[in-house]
Amino acid sequence: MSPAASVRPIGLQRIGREPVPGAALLEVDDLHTAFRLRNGLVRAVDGVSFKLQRGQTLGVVGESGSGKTVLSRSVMGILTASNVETQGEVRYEGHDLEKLGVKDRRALWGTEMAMVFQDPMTSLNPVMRIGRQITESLRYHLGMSKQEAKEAAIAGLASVGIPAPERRYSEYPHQLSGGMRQRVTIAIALACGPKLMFADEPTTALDVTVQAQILDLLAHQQRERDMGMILVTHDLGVVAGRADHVAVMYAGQIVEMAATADLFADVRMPYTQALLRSIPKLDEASHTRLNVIGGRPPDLINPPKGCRFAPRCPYAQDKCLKEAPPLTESGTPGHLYRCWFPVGSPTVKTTPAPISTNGQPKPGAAKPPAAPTASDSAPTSPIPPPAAPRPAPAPASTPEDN
Amino acid sequence: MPDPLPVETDRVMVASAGVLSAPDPEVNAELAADGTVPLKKKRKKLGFGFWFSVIWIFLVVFGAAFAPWLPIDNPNVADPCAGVASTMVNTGATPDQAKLIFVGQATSAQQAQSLIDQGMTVPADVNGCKNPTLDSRVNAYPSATHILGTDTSGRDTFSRVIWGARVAITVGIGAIAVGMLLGGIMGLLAGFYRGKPETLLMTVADIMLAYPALILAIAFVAFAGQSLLNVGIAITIVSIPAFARIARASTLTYAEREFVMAARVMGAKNSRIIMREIFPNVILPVTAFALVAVAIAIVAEGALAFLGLSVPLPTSSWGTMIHDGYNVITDRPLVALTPAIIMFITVLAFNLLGDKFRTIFDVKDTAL
Repeated sequence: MSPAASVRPIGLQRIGREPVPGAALLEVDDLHTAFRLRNGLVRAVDGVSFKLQRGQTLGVVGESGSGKTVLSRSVMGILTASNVETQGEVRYEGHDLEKLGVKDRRALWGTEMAMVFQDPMTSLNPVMRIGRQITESLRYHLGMSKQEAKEAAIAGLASVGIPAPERRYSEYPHQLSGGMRQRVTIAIALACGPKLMFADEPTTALDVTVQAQILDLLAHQQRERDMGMILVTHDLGVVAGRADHVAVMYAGQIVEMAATADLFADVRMPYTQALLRSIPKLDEASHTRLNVIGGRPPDLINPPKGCRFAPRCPYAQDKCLKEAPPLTESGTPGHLYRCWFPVGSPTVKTTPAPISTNGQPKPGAAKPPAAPTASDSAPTSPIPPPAAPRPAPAPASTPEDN
Repeated sequence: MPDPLPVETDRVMVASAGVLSAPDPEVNAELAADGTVPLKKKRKKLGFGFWFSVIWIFLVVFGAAFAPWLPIDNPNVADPCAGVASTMVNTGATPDQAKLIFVGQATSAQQAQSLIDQGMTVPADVNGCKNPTLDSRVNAYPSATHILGTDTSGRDTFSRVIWGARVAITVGIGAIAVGMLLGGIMGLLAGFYRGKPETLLMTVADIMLAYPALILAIAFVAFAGQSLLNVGIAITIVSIPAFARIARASTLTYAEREFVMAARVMGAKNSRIIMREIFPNVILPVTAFALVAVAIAIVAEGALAFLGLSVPLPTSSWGTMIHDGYNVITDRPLVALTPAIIMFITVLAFNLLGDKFRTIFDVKDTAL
């Protein structure tokens, strides 16, 4: 699939613009996205800023409802429902997308930026042949003829590792397995040669073995095309080996962001630490209780006054409940976190209180490390002090740690 | 379940050893280069009901389409011998006696016989009737002359059934097709764009659905006048809200699917999304309903005709025929039963077809 085959201007050129020299591929500045509901305003994304250069991958990690999907969709500008309110600036190649208007933005979709969705079972049209789903955008954006588009589509299917692409070209989605379908959705997303790829939990609906293949495929395509990629996932293991930077999201905010190696070497935010702890380890004995984060994510209509993670944080102190911490930079340049008492700082007790496995801990209840009762503590080996963080998971093996 | 191969396929490895002992040659022939065979495709049998329905509907539609050119009697003209034959029935006369009675020379069989004995010549041709038999009488049972018998006026039932199919099919398929088009478009747009237009449209549809459909149709035909067009319009009007509802409900579910979002992020416009992504999905349940709706429309036209509100006389319609036969239903039940049975089978066929269509479509949906 070579977009070069086209004669028609596409993407930015189509709307008469050029990349601004020196601008990052994508710059998000204090982005807010909220949904107006009957019972209030749900602030799904609340002041997110980041930069992404071409060829780089930003991993966006967070639990369900942390706003990671809404973030990627509002960056792309596809949240068009009447009850959506967005603020802040999203600059693509130096151009503010908000100012472009719907029509010009649509010219960028598919050609400059594309998205791979979570569930390949629903992201393909069940009554349209695979081939047609790919050729549609080729013909529309690149103005290819039927035959050219067909050849390009078959080449595209082959490039995402689909065997017998000529045959698959004329098949329907239900004739393909989940992994194959996700490959098809990737082929569709890549068809017009985008420079920015959003991968919204691309492996969540897939088998573990297929997950690794799909992630490898995405990484391979990204390298080959020098794309920027935003990899949204709830799995720290997925981003560990594949993202250049990681942004950890909680309750609509970025709570920690750093280069991947820096983040895993020096976790500052207790939430990130808790996420890391909750990954099951192979070397633990069977029937070991998993480390879970007690409680639930906060109500996004009325978020907590102080730190949003404080009600669930084992280190929370009074200040955390009263004042919201700003995003501050730690010793390592570019390592940002949102915490008053970051992990490893002298004001923090070295051992976290055991995380309750049932229900939400009362705010403040976890303050002094009261000796846990026998019934309360999980039968685990002693938790290592947070000052000595876990080594970063080995990239190659992490996707299976799901 | 992990996939068995590093490169995934929808194929099964053919075991080299005896696990899958001796794959049959046919399968072997299909072996691809990578040593796999395609999974056997499960073909669902369509069954007797389906094929019966298809053939029956084909026959009905064929008859309706080609009625003027078929070698059948004129549906609106009685058998020329109907009068003479009925006289034979009523008076117990022979054909010759009956002819005399019919032309007014005599009043009874005995009188006619005595006139013949006196040497009166019997006319060879009475109103075009030469050799009257009982098969030509009114309300006749099926015979070689009239394969489905005759009606209360001595008209050929078979011919009238075929011409009646014209009305039934025109109204059934025509009115429903228009209703499907208009209601489908309304529902599609309402379900896709939502908001105030949807509320308005659906409120109107609900109000119309709350009306008894037949009363609405009767009122319309009574006001607008009896004609094939008006009957068609009446049935179209009452079918639109149902189609709008079904199309909207289906659109709502598909508009939320990720493939619509996927098309959007590839730069597709709303019009394209509606036509290419949603319409092909929505058309399936709407078509399944349309087949059932055709059956309902045929019954509705029959009901209007039974009440004397369908096509003007003497044009034959199944409902009119049932109405005619209703007067003699105790003596000659077949006069009313024949068109009723024809209508019954036609309605059943459309229902079976609609049902089959829905089943096939449903399976596809769950396999997603």
